[in-house]
Amino acid sequence: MLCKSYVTKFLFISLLLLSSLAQADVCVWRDPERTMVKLFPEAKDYKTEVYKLEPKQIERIEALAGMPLHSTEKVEYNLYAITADGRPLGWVLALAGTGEYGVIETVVGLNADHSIRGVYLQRVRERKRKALKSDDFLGQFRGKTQQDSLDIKPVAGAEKASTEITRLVKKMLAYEAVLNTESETRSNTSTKGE
Amino acid sequence: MAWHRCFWRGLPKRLLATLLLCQYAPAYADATQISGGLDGRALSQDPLWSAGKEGIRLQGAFLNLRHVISDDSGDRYILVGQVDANDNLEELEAYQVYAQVKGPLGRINLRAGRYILPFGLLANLDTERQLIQSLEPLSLGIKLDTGVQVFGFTGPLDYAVSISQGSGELDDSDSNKLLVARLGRQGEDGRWGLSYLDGRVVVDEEDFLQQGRFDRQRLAVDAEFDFVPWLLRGELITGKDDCRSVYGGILLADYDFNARLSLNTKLAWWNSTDDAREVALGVSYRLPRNFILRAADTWQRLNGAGEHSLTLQLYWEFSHAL
Repeated sequence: MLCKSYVTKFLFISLLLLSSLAQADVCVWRDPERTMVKLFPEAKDYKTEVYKLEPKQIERIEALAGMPLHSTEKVEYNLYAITADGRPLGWVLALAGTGEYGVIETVVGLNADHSIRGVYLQRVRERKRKALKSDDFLGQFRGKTQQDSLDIKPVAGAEKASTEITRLVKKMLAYEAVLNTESETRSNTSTKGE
Repeated sequence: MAWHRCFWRGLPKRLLATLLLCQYAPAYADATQISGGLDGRALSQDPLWSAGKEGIRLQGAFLNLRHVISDDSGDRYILVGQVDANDNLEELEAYQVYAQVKGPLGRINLRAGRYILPFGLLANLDTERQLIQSLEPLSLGIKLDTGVQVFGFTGPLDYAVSISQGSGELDDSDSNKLLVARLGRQGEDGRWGLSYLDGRVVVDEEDFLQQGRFDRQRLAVDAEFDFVPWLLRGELITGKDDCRSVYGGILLADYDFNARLSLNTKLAWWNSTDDAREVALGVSYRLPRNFILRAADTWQRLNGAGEHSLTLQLYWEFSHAL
């Protein structure tokens, strides 16, 4: 069919064109609710806030994190605002990095005062996974804010993964500091304008 | 095939309507994600079942649009549409196309459209673009179907109940009904589930072992365990096809050598009027820029006759926010 031929070609060409845009991480966090409940047991709902990153924001995030962002981290970022009965409880953020044995998906829960409520490893296939997921390791992040230095004692035998998780948490704190601050500023300006 | 014609008549309008809805929905906030992939394969020999064709070809290309609409209280509506072009772009089909209403924190959801049935391993594992496939081509005769599904979770338990047509087609041709239900439990290092299927399944695609109309009941136990570096998945299934007993099972075992290289194995058997056995051994290597190279050697036996195939796959996928 003529129509079919055009559409299949269109689909194929679209895919090839999109390949040049395809900078975002392929791993999409599509069912985050279970992890949200682990970090915020009292949560009743959440809202996805999608930010398309601008060059100035990327610069500020890199400056706060103290490290460059990977190309896949410079396109967009999602914050998940957690609520209970309309009351804001905090935010959940997620970021994926690479360990020795595959992807490490790290999730951070932030309190309304921007301090870390908890860190959860959504996916980790390192040989020392239990130690990495333990409260001995992840508990070290609790209460830290973006202004604090993250002096985290690594898990013996999983130093690379421990460092990667710490780097991911630093980046997420920087994302939140830049994006949430701007969002709050915008919201305040808008309120004043009304 | 008839449903392809229906697809061509109906889908462009549906997609257009969906996109317009996405554009003008009175939402507080929304987000659109586009993802897609290319699946190129070289196959050394035709397998006995499945739509394998010898030689080098573009097995498939797909494009997926996912749009989330939020109101003041949270994420509320999700629209998903995916188009697949298979067999060197010769066959076009709608893959998952559905609208979903999300309850608070996703504890209860309502989904309507064409979706993957929540049965057994299928509920959490889609092997459509992998060389080593799950059991449904042998055991169910259906994977995607059009209907309505309620699903969600409470504590460590998750649940799903689906009522669909049983034909895998987009349009309801004969008011057929297929019930599928699954109750699962999820832990830190694994999950398991109990699934039930009951109704008439109409199979006309050659991807499945048997074609025809079957009064089909199935009961299955599925499990997934993450024993790093092993990832084990299994399913045991029994039931009836037009009052004849059937049973079978599958074991999938993956071993990660490092961040890039993994070993993939499969053992599957199915006893019905056709007896099928399948053993597969494969490797998967992650290349830069979201490319994956896979190879799989598969031995199949159908009613005593054996077949062997070697497949090489270059797969690429992407995801991007619009």
